Amino acid sequence: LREGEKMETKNQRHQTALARQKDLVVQELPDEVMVYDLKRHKAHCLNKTAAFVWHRCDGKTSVVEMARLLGEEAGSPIDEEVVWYALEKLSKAELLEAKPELPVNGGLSRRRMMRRLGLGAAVALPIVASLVAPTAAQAVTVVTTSKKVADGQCNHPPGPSPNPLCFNDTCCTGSSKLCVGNTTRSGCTGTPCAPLGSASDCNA
Amino acid sequence: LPVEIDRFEEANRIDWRACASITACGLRVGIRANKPEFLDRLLALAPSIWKPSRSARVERMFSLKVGASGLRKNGRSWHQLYEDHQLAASSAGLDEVLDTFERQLKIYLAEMARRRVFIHAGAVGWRGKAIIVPGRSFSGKTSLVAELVRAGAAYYSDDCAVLDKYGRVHPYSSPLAVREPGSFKQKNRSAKDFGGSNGLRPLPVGLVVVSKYESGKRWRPRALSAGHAMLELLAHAAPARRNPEAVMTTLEKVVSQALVLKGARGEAEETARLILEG
Repeated sequence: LREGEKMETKNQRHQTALARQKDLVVQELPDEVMVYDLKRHKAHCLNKTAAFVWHRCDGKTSVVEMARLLGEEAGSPIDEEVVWYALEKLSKAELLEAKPELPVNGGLSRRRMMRRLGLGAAVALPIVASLVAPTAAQAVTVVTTSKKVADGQCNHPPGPSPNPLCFNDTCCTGSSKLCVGNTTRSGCTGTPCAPLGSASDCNA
Repeated sequence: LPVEIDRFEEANRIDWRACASITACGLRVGIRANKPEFLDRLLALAPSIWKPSRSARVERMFSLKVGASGLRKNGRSWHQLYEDHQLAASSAGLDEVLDTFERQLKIYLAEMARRRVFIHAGAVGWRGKAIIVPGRSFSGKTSLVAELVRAGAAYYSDDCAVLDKYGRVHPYSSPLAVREPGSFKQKNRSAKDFGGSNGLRPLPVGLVVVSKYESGKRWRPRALSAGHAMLELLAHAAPARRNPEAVMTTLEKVVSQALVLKGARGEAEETARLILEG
């Protein structure tokens, strides 16, 4: 099949698609739709064109009808390939019940689609942006206290009095490994400390 | 179901000498140790937002068993941490066990917090709005937060932006863990060190800065659409998998009221100035 040729057969033009409903959390935004896939823990952002097509994947509306409706929405005719492209993206994101039978083996190229739409197109290229949701452990960084201790910023971990909290304290380096609070220098037996809270503690 | 403090099997054979019940983010957590002097040490490792609780029923129990010294031939004692019924850490190094406690408690609160969504992000307050800087470790968010504070913003957090259901940011102040240039080492600094102060009240988000440090770059960001902004924030949301509906509702509130900018940035000082100048 060469560029510019009509690709689909009559049967394909009348093909329908069915949007997945189960195990999805859907959040409508003014110009986009967010979809969270509870099974795969993936989040998808459908732009306006992709969302338009996805909302019409009701198992009844054909590709040709979707293109007509999209054209009505945009105010100018829209090629059916735009709908096929959207269906391909939605299928890859596993947001359709069944994989549509695409008119071109190997899928439709973005470049070809850009040419189809042309500059100043009435609708945007259908886009489905996706990411895998992080686990809690992936999302949270924990710089643990002993890491801070090892880095020399606090030579004694938080502990009972006289050092209830090492945080924001100044700390003495040296063999004593003593943590000294901002208000006292009495315990400073090591070399001058790395200043943390204020600059001069332990230097006396 | 909530776990009763005294319902453990293996851990129950240990003679717990000190116990505390705390609440944080609507969660009740029990902390106990076989040596009383270590209870304060554990509490000091908990995120600063905790308050003492009188409840004997907790939803998660952390139990630290500090080994007796001098009992083994090599003179080393063995320490253990239980998270509920599970042995979470067992090591001759007490620091290692305490690290596990600190990490597991923080992850538990970030994931399970009631009515709060934890985003891995720095946060500051500026002219009645919050600026949040989501990002992974080493993306330079702490240095940017530090420079924003130095430039006059109020410090909220360098690590977790804690959002309520209205999309407002709450203070979650821990010391700024600032990395030394070209090093993995970090130093704890307070907002005062940067001539700033801590934010006290919740603020609506006015700006989200999605940025990573790149040497020589200048901050020339582009605005993200609401959907892409949500994806950026969701990538750093601790409860994303456990409660995606609540996370998405909260993030929708954020992106509907905030400008979300994305782009590489150069030095934190210049970027902070550009951000605050708007």
